[in-house]
Amino acid sequence: MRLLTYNFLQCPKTKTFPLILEPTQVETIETEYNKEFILRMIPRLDWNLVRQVSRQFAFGELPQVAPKESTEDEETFRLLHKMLLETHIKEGVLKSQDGTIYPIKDGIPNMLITQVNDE
Amino acid sequence: MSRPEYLAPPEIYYDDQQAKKYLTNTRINEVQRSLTERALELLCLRPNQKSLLLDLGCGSGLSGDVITEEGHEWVGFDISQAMLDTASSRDVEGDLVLLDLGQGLPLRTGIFDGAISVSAIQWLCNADKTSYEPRKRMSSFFNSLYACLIRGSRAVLQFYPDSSDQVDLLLTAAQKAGFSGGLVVDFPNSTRAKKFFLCLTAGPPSSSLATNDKRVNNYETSKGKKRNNGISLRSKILAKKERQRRQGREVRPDSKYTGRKRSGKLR
Repeated sequence: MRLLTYNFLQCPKTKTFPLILEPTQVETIETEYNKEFILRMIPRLDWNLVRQVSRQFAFGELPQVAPKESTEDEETFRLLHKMLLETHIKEGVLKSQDGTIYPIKDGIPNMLITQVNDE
Repeated sequence: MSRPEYLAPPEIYYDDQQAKKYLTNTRINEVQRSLTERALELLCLRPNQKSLLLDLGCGSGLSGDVITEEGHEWVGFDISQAMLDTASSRDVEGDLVLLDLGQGLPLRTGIFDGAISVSAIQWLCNADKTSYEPRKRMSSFFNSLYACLIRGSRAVLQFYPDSSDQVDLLLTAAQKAGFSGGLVVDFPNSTRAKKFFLCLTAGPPSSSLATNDKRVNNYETSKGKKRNNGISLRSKILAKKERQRRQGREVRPDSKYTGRKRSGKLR
């Protein structure tokens, strides 16, 4: 799971956002840089979470306000690309605020409600 | 061939063996590909733009491959661990999430540019567990799908209904969630090649997407069009005039009075 998708996920049971991400294995897979796509994703992202993730994964501090098309800050866009589209969470857990744990195995988060309860 | 929906719940039916079948069987491969291509065509995405799509019931990621080839990003949901494992072993480009569609999609609002689904949503009609209420599951699925799509974007869901009742059930559930749109049937005269696509639009179509619309209108929709879904008389008249202009007919120019009612004096 890439960090882009993580930014979109909420708890399936309580509908709370964000989920707390605790990775144990992270992998970087390079992809083609596409600034236009990043620009289109920015308004859909929860910027606070992006900044928090950036700190958590030691990507450095991001500006307080999300960059716009007019922002001439190529470095930030490159960083966002690397962070959101190239960083994959291979193993770890997603934690909801009510304590439910959704495990991530082999890059696939398990968001099934019943199965999580059964275990 | 008996319908797999009658045999077992999807998370059990699509086991390692089935997953392998999807990977090696060229016929399944071909069918999945062509269905995905058709679904993408019906999505009417903006050309030359990388879009973010949802693949509902992505399985082993065959449909995802087509999305990647078309140059889009995708996130896939499926209930079968075996199928997802196959997908991840093939190193598909999209993100995979293990999820039961009937529990609703755990996504924030206004994220995706479109959604496709190949042969998945008929499973929603089944009550595989005693706690399952198909109607409820359908409504939580369609409601959450509606929410996570960007207004005016589309969802094209190909499925295999086992009766016209199922079609009605799914259509009603989709319309209750706020979707407009209807059913597109490809090859309606052939029993084998006949394919059903539920083509849904989330909210009022945005003007940017409207340019592509005429393509879908050419296809026969078997269900009647939805009534006047918030579309003003003026926009209808403007569209009609535009159409007639294209046909080369003489049409009065558009003005601010177009589509207005006459004032009382003249009546």
